[in-house]
Amino acid sequence: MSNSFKTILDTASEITRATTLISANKRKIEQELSRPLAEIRKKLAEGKISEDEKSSILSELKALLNALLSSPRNLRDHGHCGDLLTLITALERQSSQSQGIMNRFLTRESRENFTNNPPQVLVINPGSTSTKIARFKGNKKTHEFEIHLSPDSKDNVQTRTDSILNWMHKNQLSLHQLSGISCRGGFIHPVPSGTYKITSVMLEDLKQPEIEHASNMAIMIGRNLARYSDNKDDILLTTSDPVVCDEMEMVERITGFIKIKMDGTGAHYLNHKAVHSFIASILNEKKVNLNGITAHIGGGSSLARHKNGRVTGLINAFSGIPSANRSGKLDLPRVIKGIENNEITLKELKKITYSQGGLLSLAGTNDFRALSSFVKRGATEEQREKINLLFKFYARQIAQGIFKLMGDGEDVDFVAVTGGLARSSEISSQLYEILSEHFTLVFVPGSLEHESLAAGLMNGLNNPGYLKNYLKERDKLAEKRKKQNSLLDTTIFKRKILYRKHGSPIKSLDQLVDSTVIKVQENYSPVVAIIGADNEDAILAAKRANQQGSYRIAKFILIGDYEKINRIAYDYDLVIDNDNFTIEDHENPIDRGIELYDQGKIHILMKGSLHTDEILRGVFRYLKKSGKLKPGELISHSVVMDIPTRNKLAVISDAAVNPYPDTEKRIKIIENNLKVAKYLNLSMPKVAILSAIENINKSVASSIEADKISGRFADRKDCIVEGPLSFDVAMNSKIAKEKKYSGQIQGNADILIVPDIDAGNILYKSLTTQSNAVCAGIILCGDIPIILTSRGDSARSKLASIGLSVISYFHS
Amino acid sequence: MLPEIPSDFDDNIQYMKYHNKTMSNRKEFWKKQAENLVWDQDFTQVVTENFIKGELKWFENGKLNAFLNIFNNIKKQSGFDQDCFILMNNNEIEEKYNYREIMTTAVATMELFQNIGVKKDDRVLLFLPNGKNAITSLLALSAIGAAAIPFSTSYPPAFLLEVMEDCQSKALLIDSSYQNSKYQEKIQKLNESVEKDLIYDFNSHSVKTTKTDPEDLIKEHDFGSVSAPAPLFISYHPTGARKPRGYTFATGGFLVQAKYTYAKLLHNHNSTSTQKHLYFDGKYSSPTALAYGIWGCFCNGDCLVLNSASINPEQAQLKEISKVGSHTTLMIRPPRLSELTVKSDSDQKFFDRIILHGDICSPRLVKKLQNLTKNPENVISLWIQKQSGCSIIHTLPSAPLNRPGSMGVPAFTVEPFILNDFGQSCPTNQSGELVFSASWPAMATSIYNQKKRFYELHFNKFQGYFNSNDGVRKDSDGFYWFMKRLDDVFKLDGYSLSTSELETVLSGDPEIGETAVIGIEGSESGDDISLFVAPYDKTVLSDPQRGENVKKIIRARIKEKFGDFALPSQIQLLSELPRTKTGKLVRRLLYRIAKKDIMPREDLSHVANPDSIETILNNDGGNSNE
Repeated sequence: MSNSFKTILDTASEITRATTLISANKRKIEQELSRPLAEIRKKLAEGKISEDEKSSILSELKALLNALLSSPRNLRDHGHCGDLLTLITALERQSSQSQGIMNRFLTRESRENFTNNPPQVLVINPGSTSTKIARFKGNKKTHEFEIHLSPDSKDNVQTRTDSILNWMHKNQLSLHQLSGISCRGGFIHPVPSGTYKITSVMLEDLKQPEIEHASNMAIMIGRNLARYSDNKDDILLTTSDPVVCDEMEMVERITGFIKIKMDGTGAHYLNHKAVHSFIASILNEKKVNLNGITAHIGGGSSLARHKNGRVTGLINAFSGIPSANRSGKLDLPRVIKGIENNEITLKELKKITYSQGGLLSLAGTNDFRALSSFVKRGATEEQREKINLLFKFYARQIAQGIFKLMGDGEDVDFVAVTGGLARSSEISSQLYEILSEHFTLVFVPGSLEHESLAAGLMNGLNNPGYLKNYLKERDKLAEKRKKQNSLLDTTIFKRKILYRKHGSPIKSLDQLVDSTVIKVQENYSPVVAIIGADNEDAILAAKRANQQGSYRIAKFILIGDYEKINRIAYDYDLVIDNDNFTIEDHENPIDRGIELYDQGKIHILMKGSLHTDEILRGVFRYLKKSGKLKPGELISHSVVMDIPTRNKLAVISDAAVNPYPDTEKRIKIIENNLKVAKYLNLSMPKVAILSAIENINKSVASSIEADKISGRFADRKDCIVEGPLSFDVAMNSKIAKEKKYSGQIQGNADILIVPDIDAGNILYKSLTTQSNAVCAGIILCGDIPIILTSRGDSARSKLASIGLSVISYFHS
Repeated sequence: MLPEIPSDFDDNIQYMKYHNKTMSNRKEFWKKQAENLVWDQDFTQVVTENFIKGELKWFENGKLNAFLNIFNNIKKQSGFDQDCFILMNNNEIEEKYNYREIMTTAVATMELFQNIGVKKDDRVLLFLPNGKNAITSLLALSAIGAAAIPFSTSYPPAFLLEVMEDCQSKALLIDSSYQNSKYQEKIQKLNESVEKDLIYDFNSHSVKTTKTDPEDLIKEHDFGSVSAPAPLFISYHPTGARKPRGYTFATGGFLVQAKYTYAKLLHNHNSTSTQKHLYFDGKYSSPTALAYGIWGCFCNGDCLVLNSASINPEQAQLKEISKVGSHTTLMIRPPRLSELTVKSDSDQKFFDRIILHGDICSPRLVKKLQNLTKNPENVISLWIQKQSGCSIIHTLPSAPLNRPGSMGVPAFTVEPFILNDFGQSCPTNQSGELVFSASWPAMATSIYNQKKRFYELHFNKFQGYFNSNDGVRKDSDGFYWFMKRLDDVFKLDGYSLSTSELETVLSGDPEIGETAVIGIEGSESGDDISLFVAPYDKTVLSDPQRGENVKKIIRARIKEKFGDFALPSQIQLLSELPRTKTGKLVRRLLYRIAKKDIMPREDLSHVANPDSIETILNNDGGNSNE
């Protein structure tokens, strides 16, 4: 055993000893603390704690908490920290008229300035079936009430306004003494969190809300109420932390589908922010320094990750956890299957997403309390078991969400569970079990929304600088999101490039282009000269083959009339940078092209506006003169067809250059096409010499000739050449079998040698026009590849043609 | 502070450095150039401009007399015996005048004009052939302070009548001694339609000069001070059936820049003291001829050579022409040289300089012409438009600043921008429209009596920019390269109509929408146009009845603003116009759609919003092949 290994073992047992010590100490604390805490809880529940007693208890608990928090986070006794914090928050909230909370939410200046002359403010919080309303005087909440909608009256802004006026009248509250009204923010446009002054722009934005929701009425009700007031011009109208806050980190906005981007809107921001700042205040921390997660669980649920004072991550009922009436995130393949099998309709999907899913779908109620009481009375054994499972399911979904929000790898100082469901002992006990060991888990049942709304307004009353400008923040955020979106929409590869093994046979034109891309990446971009570049098709093809951020399989020199080329280049946004694209002003493009080729400045020729004949004549002259055309070599044309019904490519030759070749010429054509087979990585290409029949028949001249030609290749080991073959035998294995063809080519030919230009042209055009075949063409001319594209070619075909010639260039 | 600017530059980087300095010291730069003229009253402001509104004014409150400036300059410099104007007929010198003769005749002409009631701020039409009368009339009018409206003899009388009406001209100058049958017909028609006392025929009045000493003559006459912003001349263009467009050029600004740019590009080379001859191939009446041929040339004491015939530019002919002076510059439009073949074997370097202007110069042509000048860099191309007055982008006669085929580099103080159709600045080498954010002195200041149209045509497309309708790119060395004219002009029933003019009018109408006008040449009834419209109100697209209504409105609008001749043969409504990624209208595709020449698998890889034309392609494209 080596020494170092022994040291490790020693250290490990040292750690074990230390951990045991920590556990023992935790137990010791548990023994000492559990009883007094239980007592306080009991007294608190019974409401037996006097104000004086409370402050002394609070200061003791806080001292204890501080002591426990001073240990490093990973060794911290999270369980007890959480217990203490839960109790402290509960005690603070116990104080009469919410003063404890208000004092924590109001700024120091506000508190001081308002001691003598406390402002009166109204808080409006409309829900789907009621309007919650609260009235504050300074740091005291003097009234709080829920006005239920009468089932007979219409639900609109006016009726709700009237009902509030009515309530105020009954409670002898004067509208004229109000300094401000704070309204729950509805679906205005996304903004960062904070307190905003209500403006006409906001009202305008509310006219077309993203989602119809009762909270959208709050701002209009507030505006209405203010109008009835004598001092309507002095009433300050605000809203704080609306549901459409958006502070989400860019990385969180990405989904696995480029068309769908997330944002931070649609959560209980008001309460998330309130709970976060309440806890920060209790812990005497600045909000920006306190990182944590708040889980608002209730009829709807959402989880918020607080980092540096912003909600950087979010999970709501649409992006994750199910709620009382929303399904939460569903497994898409199952949804798709359900739709395909007509088990789910789009309408149903919409319903369960927005209003009929979640608990309602699982248990037939949207009320967790109903479930709890049903367990106590009336439920069968199975039903009880299912209900327990459901509580477990909800707790686990929430806990998983919380862990998911930890995905940024940074620690959290606390996790708070708040909202109506935090009161449910079934859910909170499960959550406690899962989370309390890992986090300082604090329960803040209910919400601090009204206090937060009131305090935001009062802070604004005290200091107008506290209020944010809606228009400015809205537009700033929109601009930021727009920039982010354009970055997220940046194309990386236009068509997915699927990498394949070197040397494996190319089976489609897309693979051909991919291979070209890789070939060029490994080597360099060859230079293509477009002969007569005042041609739209050639320019478009060149543009396809050299696009910033997409492909760059070749560079281009555009030879021809300067003015005309410039015009086309302008129209098609071709960037003439004298590298990727260069214009060469010349009155005789073919001569110039060949001159550049001779100087080694270009590698491939491409037909532009000049006639094919002219180009071939020029090239032929040059090859002959320079001795570059070896004796026996022939210029010929090959077209590579990608036929959708076939799983491999087919090369057809010669359908363009040699109209009626004799036997010797056709042998040379086959040799040229064997080169093309090499470009396609075909190790043993199968060449079919086509005729009308697969037998030798004296009355069919092409069959006799095919036999002659195939005989010439009989000894070859590098290819299989058979003929005569009919097209169906060469291309369809079933037919080959049916016709009992005995050769090696059984419908799987790679190269089709046609008898003459008529047959070739008819074959190739019928494939492209009738079978959606796509083709790439090339002229083999000694070592000079020549690209031909025509107006009939699709963009894909043009690109493939260039690709083929680039591969050809690297082969030679 | 503006540093001393060297006369030659080591490289383009050094040029750009100085160019930048002149841009940030634009006012100081032009103030300094203005000091080369004699001002009767100093200007208070070098320039005030507002490109958002399309307004500009140079040398406000300044007063000067253009004629006296030429006089003073020649007196100071080379003297009155120097050649001033030569008229050739093909290779032969027909008439030759020195400054003494031209100046004295101009004063006599001025007297005559005054006798027929021409006063300061009046407008006078010149309908004269290249010749002494045209030259002295221009000088005489400037001496009075009246605006010249020069025309060559090729204009139809109907158009002249329209212009006379539009600008309320005080007189129409003709010369019935000019023996040209077409011209004779035209002036006969004019004589029939114009009041007698408005026509002034040089043939029936003899301009007599009693005195031969111009200095005495000058002393005897009163020359008014002309306000710098007052028009020196107005350049009229026919524009379809709409009111003619008369671009006004201000006396002060035009003179300052013409003198400067001529000196810079044509005069100051070799030995500066010797006089140069400028052979200007073309008519005296275009803004370019006025800038370089007349005002630039005379303000620098050089001699202008015009031809009464239209020469056929061949090497031998050009050689003859060059012999008119010891230092001859040829100024010519490139298309005139398209057939020129140059034998480079013999020494044919007979021109001091060749100045190309008014059209694209291909690198091939420039290289060919380099065989005809003493140094290859002495072939210069100028980018000038009707509205620009002088050249503001040009190559320079020094090797590092002369790239064959390029438009060149921006003139001092001029800052060009290249914007794509979204109004964003184009990166290097990416093509877009050439625009300017600030004015230069010689630039047209308005369209006579049509301030709004001036704004609509030139400032409306990109807010705060003067647009050129030229598509260009700029390379990494700062050279500009012309790519294409963005404004197609075609003929309909004998009227010429520009796409931009029609598009501006229709797209500006809230009831219509964004419009693309596609000209189709050579249909049965001559040229034809086709309209593609993306209505502002998209709901129109789904309601055929309302769609028809929009088409009706379009037709009515065209009838009202242009006339029946401009009615399109077809109007197609689209959700949006097809554009490339940088916002360029894909006109070639629209053209093919209009001609129903669409392939079944049309390559739309360059269209950023192919959805916009999908419905049309599916309707029309399908039946062409299947």
